[in-house]
Amino acid sequence: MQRSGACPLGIGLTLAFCLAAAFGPLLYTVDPDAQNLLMSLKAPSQGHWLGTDQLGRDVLARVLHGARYSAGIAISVILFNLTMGCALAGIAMWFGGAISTGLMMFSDAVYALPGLLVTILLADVLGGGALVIVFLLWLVAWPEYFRLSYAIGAQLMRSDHVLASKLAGASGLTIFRLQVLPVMLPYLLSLGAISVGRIVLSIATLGFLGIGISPPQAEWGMMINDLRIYWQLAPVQLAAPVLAIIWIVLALLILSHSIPKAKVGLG
Amino acid sequence: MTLAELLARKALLILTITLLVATCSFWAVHLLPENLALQIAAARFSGAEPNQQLADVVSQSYGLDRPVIAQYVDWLARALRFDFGRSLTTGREVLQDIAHHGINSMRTVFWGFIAGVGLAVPIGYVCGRFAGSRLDTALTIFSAAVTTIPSFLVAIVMIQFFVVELGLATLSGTSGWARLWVMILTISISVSGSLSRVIRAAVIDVRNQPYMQFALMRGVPERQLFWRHGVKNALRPMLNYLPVVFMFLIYDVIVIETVFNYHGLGWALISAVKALDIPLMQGLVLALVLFYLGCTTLSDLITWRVYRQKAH
Repeated sequence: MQRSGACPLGIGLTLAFCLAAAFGPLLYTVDPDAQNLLMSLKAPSQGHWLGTDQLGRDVLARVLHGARYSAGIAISVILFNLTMGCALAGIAMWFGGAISTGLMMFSDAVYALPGLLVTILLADVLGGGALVIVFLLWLVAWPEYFRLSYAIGAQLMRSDHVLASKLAGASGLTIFRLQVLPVMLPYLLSLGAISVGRIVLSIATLGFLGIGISPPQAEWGMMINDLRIYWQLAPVQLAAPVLAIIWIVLALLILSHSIPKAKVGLG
Repeated sequence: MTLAELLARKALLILTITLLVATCSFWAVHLLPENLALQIAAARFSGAEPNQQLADVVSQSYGLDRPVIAQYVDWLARALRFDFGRSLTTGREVLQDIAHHGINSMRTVFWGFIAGVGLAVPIGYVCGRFAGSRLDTALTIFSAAVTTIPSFLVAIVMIQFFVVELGLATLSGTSGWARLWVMILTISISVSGSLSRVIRAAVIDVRNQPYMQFALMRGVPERQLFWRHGVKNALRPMLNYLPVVFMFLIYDVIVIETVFNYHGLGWALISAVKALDIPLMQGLVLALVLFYLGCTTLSDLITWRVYRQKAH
């Protein structure tokens, strides 16, 4: 099969997306929120490369800003999860006993919840905005990172070299930083890479349902929901956010499928 | 693990989660920056301009003027008895609304699940049996595509194709099969995507086991061998994966019912959220969580029943 070609393809697609999210809004400087009702649902033209939506806003600008929104949220959620997962696992491993059991039970309970339900329940009362979405997606996803780091860390803590460091009088923080973290991090990062796609899909789903969004913000799911009744009048405008979602999720899928294999080959 | 132990563990988990969700939904509402009584007044007596006087009446009749801790304990006690009060928009008992919408949801979820498993098992088996063939590649691409595309897009495409273009189904009425079959097909497609990949991996894994290879070399016919010795081992990953499937099923209920405008639990939840109908929202979330937990418990029981000899 085309295993060898998959990895560069995934990296290329992901990189193209990141570049578009980072520099797209700088290069294509049309205001994504500027409405012009006289220009609503116009086909692609010189001034609006992908046409305009039902309020006359530029679709390309909105797709690019939506990319930045999704990428920003996804990256912050992953960063929060990584730090939180490591920190809690560190606490659980060092103190052990009741604290570790309690944390495990709590994470099991959160892990067993359907995340979208909690998000819907809380997003409504916390109000919209990117920060709320980051908080909620983090709230339902941290147990996964905690469990993984704890599983790896607990195994390490029983190993001889950690015991040797302990006997030599190294502090818990030093052991964690020098002996546990370097082993843990690659696993956590590959879990992060896999879950980016899921986070992007959740953001789009929430936007589509109209939950946790503060309206002028450009978001792909919401764009699809707004434009789907105009599919005959504005097929290009509807296709743009759809393809954007499929692009990034597919890129990450290819990437996450090729990363572990590359790693196995190395190790 | 004995059956009693398994059930006790599950019961503890369900109780913990129920309390967790109930706590979450209580504090989320009571830590609101806006005045809750004013909001309820606005929702309940729409038309009249919500004012402080009305808010005071509401505050008294809903017991919102009591200490928060007393309200919290009261809320937990009532939540454990499934008494969520009355919906702010329909004025009916929340439990009544949940039962009404739940029956509609059950109908699609049950058949959607059956159809999804019915779709995933043959696809996964064929892919695993003929791994590496063109058929396998095509079906794997199909299931990868289904998992890549968010389910609301699948639902929109289904509506466009079957309802608008071909006119084979309708979007009105609640219970007729003319409407349900498209929803069931949509749910089953989104369920089968990831499930068929799990089954494919399990079939490949079992077929590569030394005991299977040995029996093949001894001349046992392939088909007979798989059905007699392989199938039980291949089923295990699938049973373990079922909780994830149920989780997706809950998501699908919410998203697909909203797209199809089908009056089930998911649709009711989104409407309640949009209307800030807090009691209905809390009740629906708890009902969906409990439904999900019930399903996972059931799948754990089946796993236990099938594999209990192995545990010893």
